[in-house]
This record gives sequence, structure tokens and C-alpha cells, in this order.
Amino acid sequence: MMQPRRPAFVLPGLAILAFATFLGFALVRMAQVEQDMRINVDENMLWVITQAQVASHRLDSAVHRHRLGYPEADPQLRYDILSSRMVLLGEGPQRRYLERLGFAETLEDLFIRLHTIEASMETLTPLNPAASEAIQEALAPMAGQLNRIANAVMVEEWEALGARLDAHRDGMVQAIASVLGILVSGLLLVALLIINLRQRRTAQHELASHRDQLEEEISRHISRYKETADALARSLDRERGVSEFYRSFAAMISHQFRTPLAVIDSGLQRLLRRGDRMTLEDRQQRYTRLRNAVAHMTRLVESALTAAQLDGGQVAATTTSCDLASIAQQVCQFQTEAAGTRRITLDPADSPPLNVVCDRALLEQILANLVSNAVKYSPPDTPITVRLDHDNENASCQVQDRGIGIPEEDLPRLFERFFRSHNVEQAPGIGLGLNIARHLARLHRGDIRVASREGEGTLFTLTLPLAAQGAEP
Amino acid sequence: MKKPCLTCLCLSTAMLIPAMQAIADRLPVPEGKVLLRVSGEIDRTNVDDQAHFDHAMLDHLPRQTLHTSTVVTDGINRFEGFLMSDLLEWVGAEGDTAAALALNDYLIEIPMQDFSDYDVLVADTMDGQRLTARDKGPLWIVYPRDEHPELQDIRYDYRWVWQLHHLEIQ
Repeated sequence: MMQPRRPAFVLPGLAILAFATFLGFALVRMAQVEQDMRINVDENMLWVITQAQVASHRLDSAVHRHRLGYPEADPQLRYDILSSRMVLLGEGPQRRYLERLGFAETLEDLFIRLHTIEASMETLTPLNPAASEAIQEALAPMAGQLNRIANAVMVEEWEALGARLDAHRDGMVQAIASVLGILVSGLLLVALLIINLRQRRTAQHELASHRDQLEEEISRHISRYKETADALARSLDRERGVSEFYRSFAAMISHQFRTPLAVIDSGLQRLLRRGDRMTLEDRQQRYTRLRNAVAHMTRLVESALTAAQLDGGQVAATTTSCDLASIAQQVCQFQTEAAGTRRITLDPADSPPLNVVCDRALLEQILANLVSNAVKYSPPDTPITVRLDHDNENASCQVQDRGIGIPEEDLPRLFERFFRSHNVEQAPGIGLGLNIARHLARLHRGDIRVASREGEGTLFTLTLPLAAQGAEP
Repeated sequence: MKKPCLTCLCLSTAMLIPAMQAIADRLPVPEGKVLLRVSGEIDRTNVDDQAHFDHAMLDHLPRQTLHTSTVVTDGINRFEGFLMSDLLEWVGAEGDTAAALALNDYLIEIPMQDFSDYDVLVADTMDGQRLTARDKGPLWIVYPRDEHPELQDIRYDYRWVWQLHHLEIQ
């Protein structure tokens, strides 16, 4: 995965080396060209030679005109000028130049002729044609010699210029090539830089994601530990609850079973002793009472078992979409029949379906508990209202009576297991019904709330989450 | 090396100031052979509308010495003569260019700016020898080439007019 370190530095190193080399080479080449261009073109030999030629021609002309008697002809001046041009040719740089071109002997020859002319100049008068002839004789080959020199100098200068331009061009081509090299190595460096930056960014991302992963894992571990701890705490609570239940159960049995058992026992004793003398009707009545006591005990055991099952987490709601309205109607009808009273009213009597997610049997149990409580704790001539309603999320079912109500101080403990309000202690009951009902409601992610005033009545409100729209039957 | 020479020159210049003042007002008429003619935009003249100078007159100008190399000779040469700027001041020259004419009709226009920017010498002596018409004399315009690198350029080299005999101020 990781690239070995050494090769990672070789390429940038080479690129930098190439960059520096090309740059250095380009600089040297351009500096050389610049230096060469700065050197003055001091080889102005062609001009020097032509000026000597011109001077020789003008001396020739002046001598000629002088002989013809033109007064303005000044052969002496023309000689001086020719002489100065020749002196120039014979001096340092000019002499070396001509010698290099192989004109050393010619130069000597030219100076000999110049001396010849100088000698004749002293005797030059219009009346001395011999002197002017001697001068012109010496000048004639001089012009030819100077012409040949001019010819060679021209070729030499052009060759030198050409060579110089070649050298400059070569230098420039090399400098351009170096600049291309600089460009390429620079681009390579830029590319390496970009790659490097990208790698760094990727590494940073990887590092960050790795850190996130670690954090996630840690939080997962923590939450798992929390869950375990919670489960532990829950099971501990449950165990506590169970043991509490058994204690309460034992107390309840000792208290609640005693009464029906005593009723059964005394009833049976009476039947044993005086059964013969009783009328059939009387006996029937007593048997029925005994059976009622047994039935009460059976219910007691069933309720206690349900509570125990809830404690053990053994009650599972098999939830489907059910219509709360129809269940409520059914429960009301059943309770009306059971209690033999017509005071239970459903509001509204023909409610549209209110679909909630629930276990139908458990929901029936909850509502039956609430309605039977209302029947039990209110005078027979008072109305009981079961009211259905809903909002966006929840359906509600309110059970209202005009009964004895619940003392305010008992309300907070009303749903506790085996709790019974002070004002109902004489009524039959075991203090499990509401506890179970709330348990079951919460199992459905709903709840039961209570509002009551002693002596005026009680209002229980069951709320359950509505089923999703699509889940309607 | 050049410093002491310049000091000498300054001293000689200082001594010549009274002589300069004596000839400031008018130009004497040359008595010897005329070496240099100055014409054009000048205030002082002595022959017609020109200023003519012979050796003796030119010798009145403050003498200067300049050591420099040239493009046509070997080594460093010692030139003596007078500053072009002194001559131009003497004749009251007012112009932009000085057209320098040589004996062989070589004609070069020199910006007057050169003479204020540089100590351009009109040399009559090289290495102790009077310049003659048979060499580069009698007068040679010499730039202080070695002191100013920018003067080492072909565009200044052609302004080194030798066998100078006429200046036309324009």
C-alpha cells in the first residue's frame, strides 16, 4: 500500500536537478550571446580600405589637376590624407587584420610606394611633369592592390558576420531548448506537487475517516455496554419487581382469599348442618353465592397471573390494525349486558372506524377494565360515557363516570400494583386491574391517564397511536 | 591613476582663468595657419561669420589630458588637447548638434549633449607627439571611452572624427 520512501524522492530530485541544470545552461548561453553582442564591432576594415582607395584616387586627380594648372588642386593635402589612411592601415589592429588575411607583403609594398610618392611630392610643381608622372605611376598599382584588399576584407567581414550570427543562433537555439527543458521539468515538478497534494489530501481523508470509524466503534462499544448495563438494570428491576410481586401476592392471598374462603367455608357449614331443612330455592341461592365466591377467587388468580406474566415480559402483543370504535362498542354492549344496566353510552354512537395498531384481545381487556371500574364505583343511576376521539397521531377513548371519585392524594399511586384507594377498601377488588391496563396500554405505545375529583366522578383517558393510513382494512 | 592627472588639470585650468577672461570678450584674428573653423550658431566670430583658430589661439584654451584606449590603436594612449565644451563656450555656441567635418570630407553630426555629458577632448597630441594631417591630426575628437562603458559602442566610435578642421553648430 505504502510506496517505498526512496523512489518517492528520486523523481522530484531529478526534476529539480534537471530544472537547475537547464536554467543554468540557458543562463550561461544567453550570457555568452549577450557578452558577444556587447563586444563592439570594431572591424570596420572595409570602410578603412575604401577610404584609402578614395584618398589614392583623389591624390591622383589632384596631381593631374595640379599639373594642368588648377590653383585649387591641393596635392599636398591629398597626400597627407592618403598618408593618414595608410598609417591607419599600418597600425595595430588594422595591421594584424590584414596580416591575418595574408596581405603583409602587400602592405609593405604599399608603404614603399607611399615613400616613393612622398619623395616625388617634394619636387612636385606644375612645371615638373616627371614628378607627377612618377606619383601617378606609383598610385596606379596602389589602387589595384587596395581593391584586392577591399575584396578580401569584404569576404572576411561577411564570413565573420555570418559565423557570428551562426554562433548567436546556435546559442539561442540551445537557450530555447534549455527553456523547453525548464518548462518540461517545471511542469513535472508542478505535476509532482499536485500529485503530492492530492496524496496528502487523500491521506488526510483516510485519516479522518479512520478516526470517525474508531469513534463510531468506540461509541458502538459504549452503547453496547450501556445496553448491557441497561439490560442488567432492567433485569435487576424486574427481579426486584418479581420479588416485590411475590411479597404482595402473598399479602394479597392472605387478605383477599381469606374473605371468599371464609364465605365458602361458612356457607358449606350451613349447608351441611341445615341443608336438609332448606328449601330448594334457598339452597340454590347459597350454591350460587358459593360459586360466585369461587369465581371471584378464580378471577383473582387470573389477574395475578396476568400481572406476573407482564412482569416476566411474557405478554407479547400480536399487533394488527383494529378498529377502536367497534371494540369500544362491543365492550360497552358486553358491560351493559353483564351489569344489567342501560346507563353506558358511546359517544358518538356511530363513530367512523378509528384504526389503531393493537392486539384486539388485550385492547378489549383494557377497555373492559376501565368500563367495569366505572360501573363498579358509581351509583347505578348515574350515566357512564365512553367518548371516542382522535387527533393527527393518536386515537383516544375516554371513560367517564359520575361516581365516588378518587381522593387527590391517591391519584399518584393509582396505577401501582395492589394499590387500592382508601374509599374503596370495602369494595371487592385486588388492585391489579388498572396496573395491568396501563401496562398493556404502554405495551401498545399508548397510555392511560386519569383525572378525578372525590365525590364527583372520574375520567380515564386511553390513548393509542393511530395506524398508518394505508393499513386500514 | 587618473586622479592625480585630473587634479593637475584642475590646477592648470584655475591658472588659466585670467587668460580666459582676457580673451572672453573678443576673438583675436588668427595669425598662423588656420587649423579649425567654427561656423553656424555662434556668438563670437573673427573671420566673416566664422570663428577661425590657429595653433596659438587653441593653446589658450585650458589644456586637458585624457588616457584612453581607441578602436584603431593598441593599448592606452595619452591624449592632450582642450575640451570641446570649453571651445564651444568660448565661441558662444548655441545649438543641438555640431557637424564635424574632416579633411577627407568625412562628416558626422554629433549631439551637443555629448559635450556636456562627457569630457570630450579635442586632442592635438597623442603620446607626446603632435598629431599631423599625415596621421590623425591636426585635431582628433576623443571620447573618454575607458571611463564610461556606454561609450564603448559603435554608435560612439564613428563620432571620433580625426583630421577635424570644421565645426558647424546647428
